[in-house]
Amino acid sequence: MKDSPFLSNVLSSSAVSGINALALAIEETFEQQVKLAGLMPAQDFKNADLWDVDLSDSNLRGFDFSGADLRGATGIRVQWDDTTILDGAELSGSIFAAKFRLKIYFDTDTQANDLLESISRQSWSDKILWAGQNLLSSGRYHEFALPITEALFYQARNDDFLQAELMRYLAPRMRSMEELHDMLVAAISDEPKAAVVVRSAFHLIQRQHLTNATHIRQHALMLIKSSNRAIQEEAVRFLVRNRPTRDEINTIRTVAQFSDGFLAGVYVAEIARTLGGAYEIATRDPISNAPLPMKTTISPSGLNLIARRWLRAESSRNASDLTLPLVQRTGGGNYFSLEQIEQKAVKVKEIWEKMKIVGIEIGVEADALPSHDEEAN
Amino acid sequence: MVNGGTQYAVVVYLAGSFVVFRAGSRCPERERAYDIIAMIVSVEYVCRVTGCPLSNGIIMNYFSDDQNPLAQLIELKSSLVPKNETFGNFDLVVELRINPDEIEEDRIGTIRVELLEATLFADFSGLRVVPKTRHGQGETGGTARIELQREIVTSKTSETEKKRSADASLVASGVGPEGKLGLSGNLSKLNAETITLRESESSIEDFYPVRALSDDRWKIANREGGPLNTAFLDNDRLCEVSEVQEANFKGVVTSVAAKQKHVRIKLEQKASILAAPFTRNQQALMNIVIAKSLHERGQTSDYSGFLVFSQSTISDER
Repeated sequence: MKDSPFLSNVLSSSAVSGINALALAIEETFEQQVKLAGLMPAQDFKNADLWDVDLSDSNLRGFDFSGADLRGATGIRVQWDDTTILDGAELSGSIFAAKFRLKIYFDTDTQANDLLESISRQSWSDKILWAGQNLLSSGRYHEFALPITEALFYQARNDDFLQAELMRYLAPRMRSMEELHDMLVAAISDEPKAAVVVRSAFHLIQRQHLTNATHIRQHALMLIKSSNRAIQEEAVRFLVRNRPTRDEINTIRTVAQFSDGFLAGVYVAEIARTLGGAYEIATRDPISNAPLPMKTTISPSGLNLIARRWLRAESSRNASDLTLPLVQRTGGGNYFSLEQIEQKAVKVKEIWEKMKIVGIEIGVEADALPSHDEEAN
Repeated sequence: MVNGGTQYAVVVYLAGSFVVFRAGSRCPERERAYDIIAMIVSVEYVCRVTGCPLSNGIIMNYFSDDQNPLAQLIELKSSLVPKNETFGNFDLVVELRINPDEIEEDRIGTIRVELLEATLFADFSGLRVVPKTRHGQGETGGTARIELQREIVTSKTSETEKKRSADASLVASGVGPEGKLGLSGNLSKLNAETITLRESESSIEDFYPVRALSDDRWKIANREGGPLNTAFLDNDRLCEVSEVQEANFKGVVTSVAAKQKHVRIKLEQKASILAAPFTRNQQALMNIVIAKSLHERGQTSDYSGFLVFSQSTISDER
C-alpha cells in the first residue's frame, strides 16, 4: 500500500536551511550566496545551470564549472585564474568567453605561446609597435598577431594608455561581431583603473551598433557602482544616451539616490540633457551651472535667477550662441520685465513637476513649508 | 544413478534434493551415459528458460532490484529475458517512464521538477552486448537518407497586346458630301517562356527519443526539446546480451541520470516564508541545492553535477 501517490518533503534539512538562507541573501555576492547555500565550489557547479548569473566581486578560484551553462554570465571585479575550471562549459556572451578562447589557442599552439611570452617582456612602446607592424597583412608574424595583441590587451590591465591603444587596433580586426562583443564585455568587466578604457570601449560599442546588446548594458549598469567617479559617469552617460529602459532608469536612480552627490548630479544632468535644452536650464544652478541635486529646494530668488537665465539664453542673437544648447549660451539681454520672469518661473516649475516621474524632485523653499491646513490637521 | 532393471532412470542431485528422470530403456552402458549427459544439459536449458529453482548451482538465475526513490518523476525497471533461439543470450528489457511532477515541501513551498534531457546508462559485468542489437541505433556509419527535391518550373507568358486606333473624320462640303476616312491600326504580340529548374537537397536523419550513444549509454530527449513526459521504454529491448562464460559474476546495473542544467526546477515559495521574488543568482543556486538534495535521496555517491534518479540492478546473486 502506498503512503501517498504524491512527492512531498523529500529535501534534506540542510537543503531547506540553504534555501532559506539564500532567500534572505538578495544583496550578497555570488561567492557569499554560495557559502550561505552550503554549496561546494569544487564539485557542485559541474554541469550547473548558471546562465545570466552576476558574478561581481566574487573570487572564483577553485570553482569547477566544467560542463556548466554560463552563457551571458556577467560581473565586474571577478577574480578567476587557472584553478577556475571551465572545460566543456558554455561561455558565449559571458565574461569568460574571450579569455578562455585565447587560453585554448595558446595552450594548443606552442609557437604562438612562446612568441607571446617574449613580447610580454617588452616595453609598452615595443608592444604597440609589434602589434602595429604585425597586424598588417605584410607583418612577419601576421598569423599570430590578432590573438597575441588581444592577449597583450588583457595583460595591460594596469596600463590604461596601452590598453586603450591596443583596443583601437583590435576592434576593427576582430573576426566576428561575437568575438568583438566578448572582448568588449571582458574589457568592461575587468573594470580598468582609469576611465579611458571604458570610454574607448563605449565609443566602439556605439560605432559597432552594439548599444542594444543585453550583456553590454548589464555591465554598464554594474559600472555605475564603481568606486571610480569617472567610470560611473561614463556608464550613466552610455546608458541614458542609448535608449534606456525603464528598469535601467530605475536602477540608476536608486543607486544615485543612495550615493554621494556626484552620481546624483550626473543622473540629473543626463536625464535633463535627454529631455531637451529647457530641462537642462531648469535643473542647473544659475550661478555655478552645476546640476542641481536629485532632491532639493531652492529659494524663490534662485527660481527667478533660473527664469532670467532661460530668458537671457533664449534672447541671445549671437551667431556663435545659436548653434549651442540653451545651457551653454552666454549672450542675450539682461533686462526683462517682472511679468516675463514670473511667466518663465511658472514654466520652470512645470518642468520640475514633470521630472518627479524620474525621481528628480526640485521645489521652491516656500513650497516645502507645510500649508496652514496641514498644520491644523 | 541407479539402474532400474529393464528400464532405468537418472537421478540427479539438484538444489539439495534428488530428482528422478526417466532416461530410456535397454541402452548399452555407453549410450546410457550419453543419455544422462544429454538429459542434464536439457534440464539445465529448461531451467534457464523457465527460471526453475532446480537450476541453483548449475544454471544462472537473474534477480532484479529496482530503486526508484523519486518514482513519481522517473521510474526504471529492467529484467533479463532469455532468448529461446540462442543459449546464453538474453534481452535486456527496460521500462522507463519520465514525467514532470511537483514536490510539496511544507517548509518552503511547491517545487516543480522537469527533465529536459536524461541519460540511461548500463554497466555490464560478465555480459557482453550483442552487436547490432542496441535500441535507438541508426544505420552504422552514420548513413543518413538524403532527399533530393527537383522542381522544374515552366512559366509561359503569352501576351497579346492589341492596340487599335481608329481615326475617322467626315468633312462635309457644299458640293456634296465628301468623305474622308482614316483608319490606323497597331497590333503587337509578345510571347515569353521561362524554364526554371530548382533543386534542393535535404538530409533526413531518423530521430530516436532513446538514442544509443557510445559507452553503453542512451540519450533520452524530445524531438522538439521541452520537458520529458512519456513512457520512453515500455518493456522494450534495450539490447541483447550474451554471457561471458568464464565470468564469476554476471549482471547489469542500469541507471538514469541527468545533468543539473537539464533539470528545470521552479519553486513557488510560500509567501509567509520567502516573500521576495528571487534574483537570477538566488534562483540558479537554489536549483543546485534542490538538485543535490534530490540526488542524495537515492544515492550514496557524492553529487558531482548530475543527478542519478533511478537504478535497476540485475545480478545472478541475491
